[in-house]
Amino acid sequence: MKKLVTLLLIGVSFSVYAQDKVWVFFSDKDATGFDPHTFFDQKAIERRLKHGIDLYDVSDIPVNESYVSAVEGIVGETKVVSRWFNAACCLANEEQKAQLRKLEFVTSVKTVNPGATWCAGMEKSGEETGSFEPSEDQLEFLDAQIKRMNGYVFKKNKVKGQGVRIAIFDVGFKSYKTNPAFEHIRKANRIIKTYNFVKKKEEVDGWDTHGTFVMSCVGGIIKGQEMGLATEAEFLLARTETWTEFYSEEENWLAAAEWADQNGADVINSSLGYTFHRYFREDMDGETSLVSKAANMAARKGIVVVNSAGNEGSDNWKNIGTPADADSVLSIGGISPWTGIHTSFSSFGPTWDKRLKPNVTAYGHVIGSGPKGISQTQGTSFSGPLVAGFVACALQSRPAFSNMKLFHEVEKSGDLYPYFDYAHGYGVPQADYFFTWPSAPKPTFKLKETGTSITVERLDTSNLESSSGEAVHYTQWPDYVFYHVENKKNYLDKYFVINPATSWTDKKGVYDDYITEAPSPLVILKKDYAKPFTLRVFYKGYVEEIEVK
Amino acid sequence: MRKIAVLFGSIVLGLTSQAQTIELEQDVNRDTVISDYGPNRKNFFGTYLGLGAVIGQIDHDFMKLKPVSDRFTFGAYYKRRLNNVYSVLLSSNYGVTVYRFEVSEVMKYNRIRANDVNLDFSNRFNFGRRGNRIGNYLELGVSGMYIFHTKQETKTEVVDNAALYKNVKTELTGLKFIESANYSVHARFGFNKFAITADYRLSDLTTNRVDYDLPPLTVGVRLDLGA
Repeated sequence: MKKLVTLLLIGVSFSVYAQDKVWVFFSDKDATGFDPHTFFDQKAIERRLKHGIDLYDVSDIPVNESYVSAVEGIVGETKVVSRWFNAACCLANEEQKAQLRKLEFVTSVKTVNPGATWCAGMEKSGEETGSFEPSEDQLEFLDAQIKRMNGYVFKKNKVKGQGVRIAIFDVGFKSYKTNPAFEHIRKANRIIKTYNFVKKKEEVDGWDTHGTFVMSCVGGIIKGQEMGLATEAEFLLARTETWTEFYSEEENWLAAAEWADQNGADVINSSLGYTFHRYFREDMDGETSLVSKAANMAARKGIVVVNSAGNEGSDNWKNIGTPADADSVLSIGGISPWTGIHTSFSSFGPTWDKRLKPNVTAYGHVIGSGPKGISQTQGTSFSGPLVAGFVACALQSRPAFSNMKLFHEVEKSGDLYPYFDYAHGYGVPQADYFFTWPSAPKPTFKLKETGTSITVERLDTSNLESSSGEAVHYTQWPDYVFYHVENKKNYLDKYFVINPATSWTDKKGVYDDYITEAPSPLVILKKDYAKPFTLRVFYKGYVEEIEVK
Repeated sequence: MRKIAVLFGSIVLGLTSQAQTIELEQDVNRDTVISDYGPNRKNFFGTYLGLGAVIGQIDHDFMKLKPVSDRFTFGAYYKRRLNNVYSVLLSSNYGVTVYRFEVSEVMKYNRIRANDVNLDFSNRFNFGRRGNRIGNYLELGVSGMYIFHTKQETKTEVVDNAALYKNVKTELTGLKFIESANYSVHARFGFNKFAITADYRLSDLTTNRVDYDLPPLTVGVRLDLGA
């Protein structure tokens, strides 16, 4: 019995003396001596001027160092100090919390959710081939991941992300100093800065290959073949994730965002996300998590924040993680190169408060470059950087656009737009939108309403293909009908992707000879949905809607 | 007449829609219902595996246990969350405990195997906020155990070269010196799916037919297998 009592006492003592992670918020800042021109990189200054942000905005003034010293005098060390939130993060037990609250310049001490977390949105990178010599299949795949975004249109217009600075937050960038996929970046000294927020030092080469794969999808080149679109962008690399320190990722993300802001980032790519380990699905409202607040703040500073939707699509969680839930974050879902539509693991939207997420999609299966070679890998971790590269190019081609204007233009460039759903967002962004967007698409179907149903009757679409037989951009989707039912509260109740006649999609395949009948119409029964509703249908680039009272 | 027309229409529509394949269908309202079932929701069912070691020694001049007497359990539980800190659990498990005795040079083993079923009631105190996961906790509770099968096994090497066999095995079942009904208290420190467990039997495991009792403390680990 004594042993049991001893065990219990050990446990109780553990809980009493355990330290919680807390944020200590301060009352004010001392602006004396703050010079934005020395504090910020010139690009950060330019971004502020472009977005009309006051160079002396109080949220940009560093935290009063004497306040931080006072906190450290009580708790030993601070983990993160945030100028945006005028606060410091540290570990503190109950006694220390009480001491902190007594400091006259402390407005509040808030205990952070101390539940352990993993970076749930991440996929471990794939098996590497051990070679940087791409096979024919790999080159074809790489070509497809660029072509799906009509990415060569940027290249044709000499837009490769020049002058745009992209910050990548990840778990490690093993081999970025030697990887052939980044040789063009290294040669031009376009890795501007690195910082390891886990180890508090500059070194980020190591720990994991995930960031290496991600970076290759933003702007890598292998044997002359682009892996991502922003091959001539500048880079800031931040290690924020760790597999072993479960508590620090969100604080590191915030610190990295402030660092990226200070160092002139135009775009942040974060292939990271947090879900059930510390949150409920109802927390995915874009306001609850620290990291969504940090992401929104970064957007307020004029940065385009691109975040992967998450890989929970086929799990219990199913929905996007955070910070992909933040309203100013461009959340990226994944499609399958083989089916052409949503890939099963890609997290679904909407946010808990029914906002559209993901915003757009890209390939969720890619060829990336790791330390030992190039290989195929999967995850929305790689859809995100494909779009981050796209965003950099879009920003270069439209330098006057504010970050949120660009955000919405990228949505509009989606090849489903104005149609959307919570699996594909507005579809895959298309580079030609920023150059020679075609005129309004020709009707590809007719909607016929009767008393009980609405029928989608497809029209002859052979004229949508060019004389060479090459499909124009909006026919990159399979020959599927997309439709959704939007309720009176302006969010979707249901959405579908229908293959209207399986044989029809095989018209170029082995079943050619068997096609003898015209495709059947798609019939939607009104009784299946609560009225009033809006039915919106997408087919081959054309969108039509009908309101049912 | 109208009903017949609707029925006919539905059949026709059903037939025409057979040529179409639904590649993706999502019901947003169904997905956004807050469930009251989950590891950190109101109700949760789970299963677990446990491995433990009997700690302590027999208070007897000759009978001594080896250091590795062990216990295996497999069970299921229902958790009812009353608030973010406090939950109650009802659990039932099947367990096997093997008490291994020190033996002489010629005896290869001497062990008692007890198969039992348990019913546990536990109070779980979680530390800190967490998402829809088990989290970190301290659990305190009581258990009732019913031993439904016992067996004592020995194996002895025969040293006589003239003998026609090398070993003698014995197997005694229905051990009358083992109490069938027992009760105990337990404590568990859980870290999500893993827990360190300690069970302390308050009742004597042996009857007065023998002059020793088996150690009451078992310490081990438990792996939550989920629903």
